Amino acid sequence: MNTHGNKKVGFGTGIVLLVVCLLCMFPMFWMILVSLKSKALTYDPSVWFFSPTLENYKAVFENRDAVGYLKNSAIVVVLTTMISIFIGGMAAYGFARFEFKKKENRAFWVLSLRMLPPMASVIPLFVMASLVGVLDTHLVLIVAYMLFNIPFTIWMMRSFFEEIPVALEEAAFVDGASRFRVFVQIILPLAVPGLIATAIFCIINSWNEFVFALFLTSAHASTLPTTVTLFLSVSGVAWGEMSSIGVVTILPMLVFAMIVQKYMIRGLTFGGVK
Amino acid sequence: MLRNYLHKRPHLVYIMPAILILGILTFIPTVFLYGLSLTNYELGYQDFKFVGLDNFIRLFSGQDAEFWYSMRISIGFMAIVTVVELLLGFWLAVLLDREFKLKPLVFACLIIPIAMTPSITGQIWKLMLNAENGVVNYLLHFFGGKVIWLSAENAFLSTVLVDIWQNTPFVALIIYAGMRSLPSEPYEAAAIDGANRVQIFRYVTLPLLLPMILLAVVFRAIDSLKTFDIPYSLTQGGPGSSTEFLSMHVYRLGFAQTGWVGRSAAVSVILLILITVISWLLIRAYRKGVENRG
Amino acid sequence: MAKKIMQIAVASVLTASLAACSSGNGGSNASNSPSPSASSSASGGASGSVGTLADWGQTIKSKYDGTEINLAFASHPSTDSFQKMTKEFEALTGIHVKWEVMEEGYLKNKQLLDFTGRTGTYDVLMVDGFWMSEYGAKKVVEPLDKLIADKTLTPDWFDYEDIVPAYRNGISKYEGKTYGIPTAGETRFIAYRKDLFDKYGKQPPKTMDEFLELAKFFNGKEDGLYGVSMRAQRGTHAASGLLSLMYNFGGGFIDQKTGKATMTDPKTIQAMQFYVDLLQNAPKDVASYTHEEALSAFTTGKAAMWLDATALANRILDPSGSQVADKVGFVPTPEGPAGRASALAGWNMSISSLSKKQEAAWAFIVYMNSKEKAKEYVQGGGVPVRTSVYKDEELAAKNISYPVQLEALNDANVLVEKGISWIPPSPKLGQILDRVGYYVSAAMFDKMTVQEAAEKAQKEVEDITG
Repeated sequence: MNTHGNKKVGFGTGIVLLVVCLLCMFPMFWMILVSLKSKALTYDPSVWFFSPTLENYKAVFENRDAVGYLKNSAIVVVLTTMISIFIGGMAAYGFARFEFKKKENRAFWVLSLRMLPPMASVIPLFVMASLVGVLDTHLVLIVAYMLFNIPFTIWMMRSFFEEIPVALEEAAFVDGASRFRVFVQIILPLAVPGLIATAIFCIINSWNEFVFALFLTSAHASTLPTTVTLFLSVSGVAWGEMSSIGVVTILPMLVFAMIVQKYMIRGLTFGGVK
Repeated sequence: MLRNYLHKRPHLVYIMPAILILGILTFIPTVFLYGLSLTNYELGYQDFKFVGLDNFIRLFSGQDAEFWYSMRISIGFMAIVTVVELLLGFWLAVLLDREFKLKPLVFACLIIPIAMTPSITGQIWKLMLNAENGVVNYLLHFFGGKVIWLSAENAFLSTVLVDIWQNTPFVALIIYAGMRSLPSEPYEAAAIDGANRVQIFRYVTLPLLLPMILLAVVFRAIDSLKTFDIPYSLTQGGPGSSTEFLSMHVYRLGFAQTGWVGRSAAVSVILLILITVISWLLIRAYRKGVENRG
Repeated sequence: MAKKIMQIAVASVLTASLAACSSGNGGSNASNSPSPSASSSASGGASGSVGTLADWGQTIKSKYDGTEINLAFASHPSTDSFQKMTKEFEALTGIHVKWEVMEEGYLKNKQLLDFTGRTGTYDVLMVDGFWMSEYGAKKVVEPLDKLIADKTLTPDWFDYEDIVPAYRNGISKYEGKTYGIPTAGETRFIAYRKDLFDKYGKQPPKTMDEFLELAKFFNGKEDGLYGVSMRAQRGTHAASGLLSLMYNFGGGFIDQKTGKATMTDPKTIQAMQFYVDLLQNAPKDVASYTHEEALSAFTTGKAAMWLDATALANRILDPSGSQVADKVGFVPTPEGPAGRASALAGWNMSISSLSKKQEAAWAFIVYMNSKEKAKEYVQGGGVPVRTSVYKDEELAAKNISYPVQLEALNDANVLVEKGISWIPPSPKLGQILDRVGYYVSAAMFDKMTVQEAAEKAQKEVEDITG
């Protein structure tokens, strides 16, 4: 595939990569360490070996209803990703296959939606949701997250669809299939690796989203990232509990990302140029 | 009638659902935002007045002591972060672009910063960067160093550092993915022509990678202008205004402590215009890069 | 261009209509919610006895069994304690309690957004004394005077008068009306390291001059030791840190009678200069310290003195989280040129003005804050506000800071007697604190001189207070 990827890893390179890995891992590592420490040790960075306590995890699951947050996060993320991928994928196909007036302008407009800082749009969205009466539901987050997931999908998938040879479709048209059927039966299956890669980023972004989740939901539909506010107490940050819920939040994403690693990296290629 | 209309514009069927949803979700907030920026609306009060361009005049005339400074450091932050992350990411991608056994493990590590929840990560970083009890200074003291990470002089650089930690892997992965997908013909041709490694890199790899690089730049430039989580948890914009980025300023003005929603909306509008202009330029360059290559 | 004009036109129509319909909602809401007086007479007729907690529980249960109330509370040790007491309350009254707990900055955002959106999600709000004037002016919370006066709703075992007067008058009122029941009181005092003071033959500070001198003395005296630790993060924290010293110098952000800005008053500037000088002897990143970092610097032995909220004393004395638990003493805020004074702040429970279940909400407040339950509340980790608690020997024996807390409260009362409210009584206080906090933070690291900072702050505060 490429001719310059056969170099061996030298000693220097190995060291550099090792350092990079350590740097990337360290905050995660430290968070896990803090989550296992008792309160007195939190502020003592010289303690690396100690008998770990699961107190913090127990507290988080028993008193803070971590399972409830986990469930909310899962529902919101799965639904918003599925819907965004479908709607965004269709639009991406539209942009890739058809020529129409002001196409580039509209494509830019779509991307520009990424630019609205969440802080600026959250007040209007709050008022809208309040008028429709969907505050503090899963629905409001599912819809709000489409705001960044759909543009991202369109942007990623457009170049990918452009790469699929038009000839494939034309063959199907000759057989009398409608365009929409062709899209669903031929194009989408071909695009699966790209779709998966896109979905991964949608999932990560939605899972970690904080501002909308904080302001648009309350007791019933709050997601994991908002739990950070529980622990910033007036009389002290509960570092241990915060770290343990941090671990609970991050672990599913991390495991997931590890599993789909290949798709993720391959998918990035499609988004760009291929 | 409708069928006929759609038949002439087949693309509409595909793009309409997305356009409609996004339209509702963004058009109204954006219009709302422009509207608010012309009022003196304050959070929690019922009535407000239209004050024309007063909020904007306030910003540009220097009555808002921090606005210009915010603008400067926001753009500075964007430039520094984008360039550094691009260079580091590129370098990392080059290092990764070879075969070795532990590669999946390296990728696993690189994914960690991307997947970590920013709202929680910011707090953990604050704990780690504490000058007296933070683990970073603890590790540094073995080498005889001690840095006051969140002092007035260093707070800005600390936010840059954390941002680099968080986003360099993303840039590296994009560029790496790009490198893996390069066609081999140009390299073969270059080898036949007897080009050396530097020449190959300069005249073959770089131009081919340009769209990928631009893509990374677009993403990072837009997102770094909006940076919020990290300065919010590390410094709340301080000490003084040393980390008062525009998005922090929007928050400070518009939310609870002060509640000047009108003024905050004005800053948002300017931030929005700034981001739009910058990304418009970048995206034009990007599309051009794609077309040239394809 | 035309497009732009259209956009603006649409925007204005939209915002205007939104505002109109939201205020419409507000109007109907106000008329729907039972006015306290009307409902109290009704309940007075129908209800049984409320003389004891059990009777009261019966009466409440007969009326509100199955009602669900929603709470928006701050993460606070008092909240933790209330949560522990919730099960019993639910069993007694049949009222279901739905908690929502978060960090104070977000809490205020959520409460105000909920109010602005006219959503009315919450029934009981936990309100910082600093927000009270603003909430009163914006009518976010309901006046409580009639409820307190009604003996059928507020039985004798609640005992409003037992709450320390300084709190009743200092943190829960706006323009003479009561909007909250103080739940967690806070004044400020100094904690110092006894072992270090003994070692160098020093006495704890009695005056501000001594305070500064001692801070200078201990700063760098031992390896990794700083003189003092306080909160000074940009914004509210810096402003609030300055407030804890300012009245001892006779200064103020605003003149409490006329409401005019007094940032350039020589006394205010003197206090600001003192605060800046004092923090030269603090850890170098003090400008990013909230109470959390300030406290941890002290509890890990990095600072010889600490000046902050009494509510945090528990953490200093808790050996599981503090390395200096057995080596500390406490003294009240030192006397300044203008005499003695001490902070007076804290949290309230209030009823949201949009709540449709105001009486059930009030029942919750009465139960949780009653004298009857006060001891249980404090033992669960709650921060006290009642005289009876401070005088309780069993509790005082456990916490060596109680006598000093009471002394600090007496100092706080000095201000009350002078007719000064420690929390500047302005509905624009949030804005004032933010701006002052910015300039104090800027003055702290030579970005500008204290004089300059004061002048600029004066201009902005004038602009805010109008």
